[in-house]
Order: sequence, then structure tokens, then C-alpha cells
Amino acid sequence: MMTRKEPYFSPYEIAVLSLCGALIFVSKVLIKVPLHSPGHSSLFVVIPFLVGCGVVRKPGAATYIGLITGLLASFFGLEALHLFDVFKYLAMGLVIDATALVFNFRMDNPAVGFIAGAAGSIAKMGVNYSIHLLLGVPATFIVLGVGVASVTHLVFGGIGGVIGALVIARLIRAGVIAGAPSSS
Amino acid sequence: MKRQRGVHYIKESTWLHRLDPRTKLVALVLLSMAAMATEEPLPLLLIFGTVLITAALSHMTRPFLGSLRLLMPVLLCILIIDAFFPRAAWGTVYYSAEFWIFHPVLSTGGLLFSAAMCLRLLAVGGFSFLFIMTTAFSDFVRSLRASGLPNTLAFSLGYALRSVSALTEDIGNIMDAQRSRALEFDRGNLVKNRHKILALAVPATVSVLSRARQVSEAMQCRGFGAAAHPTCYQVQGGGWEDVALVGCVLLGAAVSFLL
Amino acid sequence: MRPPHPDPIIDIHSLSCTYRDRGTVLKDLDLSIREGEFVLLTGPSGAGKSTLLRCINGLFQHDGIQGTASGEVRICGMDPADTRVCDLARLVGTVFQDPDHQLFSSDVESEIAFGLEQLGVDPAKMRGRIEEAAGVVGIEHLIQREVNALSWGERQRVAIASVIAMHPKILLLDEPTSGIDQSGAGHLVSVLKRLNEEIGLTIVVAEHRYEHFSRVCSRLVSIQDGTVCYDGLPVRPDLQVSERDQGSATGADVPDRPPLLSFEGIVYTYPGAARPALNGATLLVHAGEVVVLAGPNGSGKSTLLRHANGLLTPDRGTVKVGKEEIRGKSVAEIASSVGFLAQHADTQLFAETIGDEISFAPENLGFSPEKKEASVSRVMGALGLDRIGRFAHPLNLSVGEKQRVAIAGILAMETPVLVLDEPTLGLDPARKAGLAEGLRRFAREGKAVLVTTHDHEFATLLDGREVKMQDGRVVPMGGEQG
Ligand SMILES: Nc1ncnc2c1ncn2[C@@H]1O[C@H](COP(=O)(O)OP(=O)(O)OP(=O)(O)O)[C@@H](O)[C@H]1O
Ligand SMILES: Nc1ncnc2c1ncn2[C@@H]1O[C@H](COP(=O)(O)OP(=O)(O)OP(=O)(O)O)[C@@H](O)[C@H]1O
Ligand SMILES: [Mg+2]
Ligand SMILES: [Mg+2]
Repeated sequence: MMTRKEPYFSPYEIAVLSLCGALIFVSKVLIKVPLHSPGHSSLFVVIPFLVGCGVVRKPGAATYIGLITGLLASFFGLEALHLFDVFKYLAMGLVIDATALVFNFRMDNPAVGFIAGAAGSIAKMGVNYSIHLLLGVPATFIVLGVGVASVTHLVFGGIGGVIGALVIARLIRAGVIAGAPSSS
Repeated sequence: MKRQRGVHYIKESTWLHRLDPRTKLVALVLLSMAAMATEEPLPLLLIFGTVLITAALSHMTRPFLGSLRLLMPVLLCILIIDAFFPRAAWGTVYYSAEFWIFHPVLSTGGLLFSAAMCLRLLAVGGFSFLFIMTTAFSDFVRSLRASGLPNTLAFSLGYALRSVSALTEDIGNIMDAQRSRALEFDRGNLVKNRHKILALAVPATVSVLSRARQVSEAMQCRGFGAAAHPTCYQVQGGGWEDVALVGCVLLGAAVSFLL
Repeated sequence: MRPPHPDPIIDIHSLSCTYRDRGTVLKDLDLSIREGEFVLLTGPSGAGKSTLLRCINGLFQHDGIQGTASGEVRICGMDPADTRVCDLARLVGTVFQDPDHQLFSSDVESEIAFGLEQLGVDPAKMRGRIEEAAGVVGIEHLIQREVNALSWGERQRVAIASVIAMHPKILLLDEPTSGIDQSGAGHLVSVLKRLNEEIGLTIVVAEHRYEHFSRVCSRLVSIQDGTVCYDGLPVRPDLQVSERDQGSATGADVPDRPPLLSFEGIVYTYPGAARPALNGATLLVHAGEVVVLAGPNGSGKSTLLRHANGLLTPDRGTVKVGKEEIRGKSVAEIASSVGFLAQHADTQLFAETIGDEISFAPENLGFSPEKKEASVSRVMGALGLDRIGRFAHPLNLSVGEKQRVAIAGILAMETPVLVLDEPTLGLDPARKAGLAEGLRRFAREGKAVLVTTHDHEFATLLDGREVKMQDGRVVPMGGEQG
């Protein structure tokens, strides 16, 4: 019998990650929260990121989601300059992955959720402003904007993270998602 | 459908449409790099000219100009801010003032600088719009796959696009069902709404996960992962047109450097 | 029909399957199927039909977390336990119940090509195989279409074509006709018949509604209590329900009481749609009657029902609950008088316990704790949920159980009007009868009940006034005036 290399993500994990990526795009288009502050969309963007991360529990999961959402948003986005959305979501995924790795994928913990969500949301904002900087918006104004926006991104990203963690915790209790592997 | 906003693929078959998406991507990267490398108005005008000509040659002028309207807000902002707060003000000074910590100065140098920045935005943004308007997502994924994108990622991208409408429907159904149980989504603040968000997020997550379970089983039953090297149906090869576009962009970039 | 090949292509000896927390599903099952047979697999809900199919295509054996299998299974001489599912896919094609879960690409052509790509078929040969598969299933005209723009029945046929293109030897179908109307089901059956007769494909169909297949299959296998209880020539199932005398139906005498729920001349077009989904639909539901709304897929049944509690606002026409027009009221306000169960309601569950789930709506409506408690325990008893218990997680249940929890959540609202969209999804005959009895009792208590269903059996059990939806209009079932 020929031995084959097992793929990194199983088919189930691939399906989960693809669907989470699509879900982020959908919720961004669909859900309009009556809040008009920069970064409020992070609230919903963060949740599928965390869920994907919490279900798959492998490094790279969030980056994978970010890549998929980013490419979808680039092609079918609604804002000006949406071709550059890939970088925003990719950065977000990378940062969430890094956080998840640091906290050993305890994504059901609201504190971890808050940190991951806030960090991811800030990373996304950072990339967004760098793109603006490259395209000619002067740095002073960006610094001013960053001052206000980083607070809202932090808060909304964090809240989204907490909600994501609550969702994961509830699904683990219900047995829909396998919890943290005991020791193996 | 809310498809009016934003830039979208236009189904036609101009030469730009027929080009290999990879070629267009390379051209986009080259052109953006060239545009980022300079702050002079003239080379940037030239680069923008290249983009305009490309649009005209592929009979996309009208939708192209239409799409540029999307950039208007950013453009205005850059125009005004860069005119009054350039990196360096030189030449004739038309106006100067002091408000709190700001020192707006309107000068020839500032005007030229802001024009250059606008042109840069127009060139980079415009070419990215052209790219999106002439490249179908599925063609893009297919061409990436032909040049070595892992089969898994190609599958994910295609499936994610396919599931967008199904997920939209799922979420709409979940919201309707909860509203039928007398839940109101648009009252009260966020803290009060915490449970309402959970009443949406939990069923949405559950439906995503059960969808994923069934999809992964179907994938395996359709042979996903059976061959070490899956083949690819319908890949178009590059032609002289691909070479022509890259050459054209390179030439434009080179000339703008020489200036 | 070709004579069946002598050697069995599917050979199963003393197969036993156990789910982790559900006990043994299949016990010592023996079954052998020869090449070229067309087998119909029946049995009550939960008997293990889907489990048996999952053993044949190897999904069960490779799903280690969920269950264990023992016994011997040979598919074309191979053991699925030692073969990866994706390798077995060269021999066994599977069509799942929901076509949406097995279509991955955005257009039909790439969808059919998907399996071929995964098997590493030479791209030069693909076009031929795609055209051949599309031709066999009769979807040549759909090849260039977007999958999302197809109807359910068309998607089902694309799913079959994309499996056929891989040239399997065995085709498995799990409940292919659920959710499809009569004409769609008839079409599907004729496609399968052709595949079986012309290509000699071995076909195994698991199906509840076997009236469609009993005409064409060559063999009927019935599973009960984990073993094969009938194996032989297809017999026409004796449908007790169809033999019931329908003379006693309350449908004939429309009560002259005032209507509790009335739709008058409803016209509604979905945003962006070309045709109106409802085109002057008029329907009165009186206190004390059960109205059964039937009609083909896409005729507008769900759309009409969504007007009952204001989820949709008609472009023209009026909806009245009692004597009051509902236009301008919020869904939450109307919810106190109209209980609405959406199609596929099992996906709306989110609470941690069944009790919380059912009391969610009463709490939103501001019931007092005692009233809420009384109403929750009453509906749990009525739907047989007290046996599962109030503290079980709703997310862990089977489809039929989830559906019952969702129904309970609506019944607990104690509204004078009940509107249910396809409530029988996943319910076995006994539960269906129980639900029908419950709804009839509600009607006797003076409530108005409006139900849509594709299920004839359930409609007969409900014994109400039957009306039909056709092209966005409501027409009476027989010749009588509705
Ligand atoms: N993943 C699972 N985990 C635990 N139990 C399961 C699982 N899947 C099915 N079961 C249980 O196994 C039994 C048989 O299920 P199966 O799906 O094979 O029935 P079926 O005959 O196909 O029924 P139906 O006609 O309702 O589809 C049921 O009692 C079901 O609750
Ligand atoms: N959200 C929507 N947007 C656009 N069109 C829709 C939407 N929902 C339904 N339609 C269209 O409206 C028509 C009526 O659909 P409806 O769901 O009411 O049918 P139905 O009678 O309930 O069918 P089924 O028996 O399959 O449930 C169909 O042509 C459908 O394609
Ligand atoms: Mg089944
Ligand atoms: Mg319907």
C-alpha cells in the first residue's frame, strides 16, 4: 500500500474555513448595524474568524479565512479601492492566528476572544491606513484619524471577539464542536 | 440585488477580457510600483494615460470613466488636503493661515503635488477597476490554479463564492424566524442587544458547521483528494496579446522614469 | 432490462453499526446486490437507511468520531474501510438529499468537471464526458447556466450528472425526492430508469415516499430494527391513509364564521425578480378550520405565508388578522396573534436547553412566569418532547426532533392563528399523525390553522380544507369553490 502525505487541512476543515470566509463577506454586505463609527463592521467580521479558528485549531486557519474573504471582497466589494481588501483581511487573519497560537487556541475564552478580535481589527485598520498613505493622503491626517479610529476598532473588534468566544463556548457545551483536546 | 455600488465584472469579450488574468495581475503590480515610485506629475500623467489608452483600446472607456466616480470622495479629500498641506511648499504662495495646530499653505508646489497624488490614485485605482471589470472571478481562480495555486485553495475560493447566496438566504431565514418569535433586532443599544446578536450568531454558526459537514462528505464522494495531481479543465494559454500588454506597461513605466 | 450480472457488486455480511451515543443502528445485516439492479431501500425514519448508504460509500467507516462498524463489506471486491472515500468515489457515486450541499462551483460546466479534475482525468477528454453526462440526464440546455439560478429540481439533476460523469459503477441516492413536487419527482424517476436500463448502472435509492419508485425498481429492500425485514419484488405499499374515506372531510362545509386570517388580492414581487411571486392571491382562514395549502415548487406558498405576520409587506392587497389590517405593525407586534413556523425551522435553534428554546418566544411576548411555565410544559407534553427532557441541548438532536422543538416554540406562543410552512420535515409517520391530531384539536378549540405541505399523507391526516397554489394564485383543490 502506497503511503500518502495527509493534507494539512481535512476536507471538513476546508469546508468550514471556506464557509467562514464567505460568511464574513456576507455579513459585511448584509448586516447594517445602526452605528456609524469607523470599525463597527469589525463586530461581525471577527466572529466567523474566531469560529473558524476555534473549530479547526491549527495555525494558519485564520490566515486562510482572511485570504478567502479578502479575495471575495476584492472582486465583489462595495467600497472604492476594494481591490486592496485582500491585504486588509490577510493582515487580520495573520494577527488572529498569531494570537490564537499564543493562547493555545483557547478561543472559547472571552478574554482571548477580546484580545484576538481587538488585535485583528487594529491590524486591519493599520493596513487600511497604510494603503491610504501610499495613495497620497498625508501622514499627519492619518495619525489624527488613527487616534480616533483605533479606539473604536479596538472596542468593536473586542466585542466581536467576546461574542465569538461566547458562541464557541456554547457550541462546545452543546457538543457541536469538539472542545480542547485533553492531552495528546 | 444590491449590485449597483462598487465595480463588477462586465461580461463581454474584448481583448482585455480574453487576456490571461495572470498577465493583467502582473501588469497591475508593475504599474502600481511605477506609480508609487514617483511623486512628479508628468510621469504620473503618463502612467494614467497608459491606463486610459488600455481602457479605450478594449472599448471599456464608458464603464471605466463611470467607475472612476467611485474614487471621487477620496480624490477630493486628497486634492484639498494635499494642496493645503503638501510635503514641501514651494513657488508662489497664494494663501497661508494658522488654525490651532494646522498651517495650511497654498502654493504652486502644493498644487502640483496634489495633482500628482490625484493622478497616482487615478492610475492605480483605475487600473484595478479595469482588472476587476474584465476578469471573471472563476477565470482568475482557474488561471492561478494552472500556475501552481494549491487545489485546496482553488476549491475554497470557488466554493466560497458559490455559497455566498446560500449563506445570505440562511441568515435571512434565521432573522425572519427569530422575528416571528417576537424578537426585535433594531431596538435598544448594543449591550442590551447582546443576546439578540447571540440569537443570530449561534444559529448562523450551527448552520455553517452542518453545511460544512455535509459538503465535506460530498467532496470526498466526488473524489476530492483522489489524485495526487488533479487536472484542470479549460485553461487558456498566453498569447501575443499578453506579451503586448506587459510590454506596453513596462514601456510606460520606463518612459516615466526617464522623464 | 439487462439480466443482472451473477456476481454481487455490493456484498454485505453481518454488518453492525453503532453511533457513539445512540446505540446500535444496524444489527447483523446481510445484503448482496448484483450489477445492474435497481434497488429501493425503505423503512421507517431512523431505521438506518442513510447509515447503510454511508457504509457502502465508505463515509461511515472513515468517520471515526461518530461511530464504529463491524462485519464485512465488499464493494466490487474492495473493503471501504481500507480504501479512502475519495478513491472509492471512482466506483460509487453518491447523490445526497440536498443538492446545495454537493454543488461547489458557480457554473454547471465546471461543476460537472469537478469530479473529473479530482480524479486526474486528462483535460482533453473532459469535454466529451461532460457532454455525455449532461445528455444522459437531459440538462444540455443548462450547461452554461449559473448554479445559483437553477431550481431545486434542476440542481438535483446537475448533481446526478456530475456524479455520472465520473463513470461510477454504483449510484446511491439518499431521499432524492424530498422537497420536490410531483412532476419533478416523476422526471427524476424516469432519468434513473434510463440510466439503469441503458448504461446498466446499479442504483440504490433510499426513500420514504416510495410511491414514485415502486413502479420502476427491480427490487425492494425494507429495513426495520437494524435488519432487512423484506427483500424481494417491489410490491405496492398498502397505504392505509389513502384508503380512508374522505367524505368526512370538514373541507366541504366552509364555516360561516368570520375569518381570523385573510389575504385579499396579494401581489408581491421580490426585489429584483422579473415575475411577481404572488399575483392576486386570496385566501380566508376561518376560526375553527384547518386549511392545507398545496402546490408545486416555487408556486408562492412560502411567500404567501410570510405575509401572514408581516415578514413581507404586499405590493398590493391587504392582510387582516381578525378584523384589523396588519400593514404598518412590526413583526414582533403581530407575533402575539400569529404564530409562524418558517420552512426549515430546525436551523433557527440557538438556546442551550430545550426549555429555554421553547420559552424564548413567550418571554419576548411578556408572559407571566406561571403562564409561560404552564404553556411550555403543555406543548412539550403534546409533542412528546418531555421524553427527551427539558435540559437537553437542542443543537444535539436529530432533524425530526429539532423540527418538533421548533414547532413547540411556536405553539407555546398560544396565538389564535397558527401558520406552519412544511412542518413535517424529518417527521416519521407516527409523529406526523400526532402533529395532525394536535392541529385538528387547535382548530376545534376555535383557532385558525394554515399549513403548507408537499406530503399527501399528512394532508390527508389533517383532514382540513385543501386549497392549491398555482402561479401565485390560490385555486380550490377540486371543482368546489374555496
Ligand atoms: N451522527 C450521528 N450521531 C448519532 N446518532 C446518529 C447520527 N446519525 C444518525 N444517528 C442515529 O442513527 C439512527 C439511524 O439514522 P439514519 O440517518 O441512518 O436513519 P434513516 O433510516 O436514514 O432515517 P430517515 O428516513 O429519517 O433519514 C437514528 O436513530 C439517528 O438518530
Ligand atoms: N428571497 C427571494 N428573492 C427572490 N425571489 C424569491 C425569493 N424567495 C422566493 N423567490 C421566488 O418566488 C417564487 C415563489 O417562491 P416560494 O418560496 O414562495 O415557493 P413555494 O411555493 O414555497 O415552493 P416550495 O414548495 O419549494 O417551498 C419562486 O419563483 C422563487 O424563486
Ligand atoms: Mg436518512
Ligand atoms: Mg416553500
